[in-house]
Amino acid sequence: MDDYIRGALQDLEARVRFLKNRVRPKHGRSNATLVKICRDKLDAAAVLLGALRTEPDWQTPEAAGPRFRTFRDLVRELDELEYIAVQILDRWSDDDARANALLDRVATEIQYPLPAPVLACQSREYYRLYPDLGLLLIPPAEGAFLLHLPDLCHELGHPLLTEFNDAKLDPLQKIFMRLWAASQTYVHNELERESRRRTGPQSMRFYLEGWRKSWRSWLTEMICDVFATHTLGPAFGWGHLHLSAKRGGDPFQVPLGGHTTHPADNARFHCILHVLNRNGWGAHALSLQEKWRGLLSLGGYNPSPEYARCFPDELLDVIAALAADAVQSTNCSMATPEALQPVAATLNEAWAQFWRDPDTYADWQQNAVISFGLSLE
Amino acid sequence: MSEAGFSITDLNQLRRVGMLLDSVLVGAGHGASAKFRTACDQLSSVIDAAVANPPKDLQSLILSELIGHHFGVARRSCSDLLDDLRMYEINADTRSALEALAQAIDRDKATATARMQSMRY
Repeated sequence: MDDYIRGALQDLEARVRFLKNRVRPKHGRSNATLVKICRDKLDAAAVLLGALRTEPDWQTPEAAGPRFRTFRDLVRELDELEYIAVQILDRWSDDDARANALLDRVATEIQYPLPAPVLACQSREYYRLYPDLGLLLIPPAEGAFLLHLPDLCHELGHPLLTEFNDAKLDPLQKIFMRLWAASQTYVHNELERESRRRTGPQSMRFYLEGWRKSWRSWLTEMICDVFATHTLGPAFGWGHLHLSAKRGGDPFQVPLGGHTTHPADNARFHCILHVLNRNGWGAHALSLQEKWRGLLSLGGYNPSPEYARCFPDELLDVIAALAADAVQSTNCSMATPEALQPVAATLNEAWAQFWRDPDTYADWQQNAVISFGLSLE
Repeated sequence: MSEAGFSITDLNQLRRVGMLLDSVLVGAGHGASAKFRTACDQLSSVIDAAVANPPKDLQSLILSELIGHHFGVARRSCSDLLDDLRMYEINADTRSALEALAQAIDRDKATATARMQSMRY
């Protein structure tokens, strides 16, 4: 297979050169970071491919396994660059540039402590963040609508938990560890209780093991929700209701075997409400809670015993309170009824307008996105 | 509410560990070069972090969840592996343990990629 690997490596090197030729600056500086990251990644791949093909260290029989694994890993990484970043840069439009201008305003307003990702209105599946590409994708028509935009702040929360060796983020990450320990202690105690009961169903132990493994991901999502609620106020809560109503499943669903990346929507809602009440949005929280109950009733959703066991209110209260402390430690600006920055004010006003008069909201929104700088027509 | 975040971050962490393992395995046959010694140092830090109980920080927690459970396949105790890495001594047993670990992590990478691609389309 040595001949095959040598030939395949050269084929891949040619592909890298082809892709690098496609990745060039255009449409101003809004995507400059993505261009730079792509070109750097392609350069790094070219160097490694060259080494795999020519360096004596990689040609020995002992290196055959590592060389094959590294080759396949490079293929996956180049696939990701080609299918995502290169395509996005190829199709870059003024809509993308305008969306980036908005994200820059958001990042400045909330005093976001990291470089904001490049934003592109080219997602095929709602909002999606690629941390190592510094890229955030949102749906193509998102620039003409306001009600889901609060989710931008949720996505901005993720890099705060994946950036290491940063003193400004240490307190947040330390509190994350306390939260994780609290969740593990809770599951551990529940497992102990199951062991003592003896007569209970064995399946509960199986569920609890899955929940134990899920808590790291669940806490990540919850902290990002709390971050978005802290920085935007009720607009994020309404966005959560909107997304749950349109695309969510059973808001009380918990994994029964295996683990998941996202916690139940109702548990997330519990944390959002906690932060709203804490930050002075009590009246808004009440109104949100009423609509949430309406949504549960409309869908015929009720908490299962497993939900109550997985996400007890007492645990969620602890999580929400600590998560709010964690977010506060970043010194990002807090949205309060008395202090709303322009973008947060517009997103909250959009929801207020929606509830005031759902029938005329679309007209209001059409003008709002133009004055917001998101759309030209 | 996207499925992003840690799924992709996890894959990147797996890639990083896989790359370190392969650097150690490749460098081992060519004397104690500076590159090899650096890879051994970095890999021993990663293994230290992954077996810390309780995890000492968020990065250590991620590593322990991602690769901690694979040390069973290495068929050598972690402390033996760490001793060898710190002395830059990769004998046949250590090599076979590291190779088993690298293969297990490679399988995880393939699964994670497939899962993300199926989510993507």
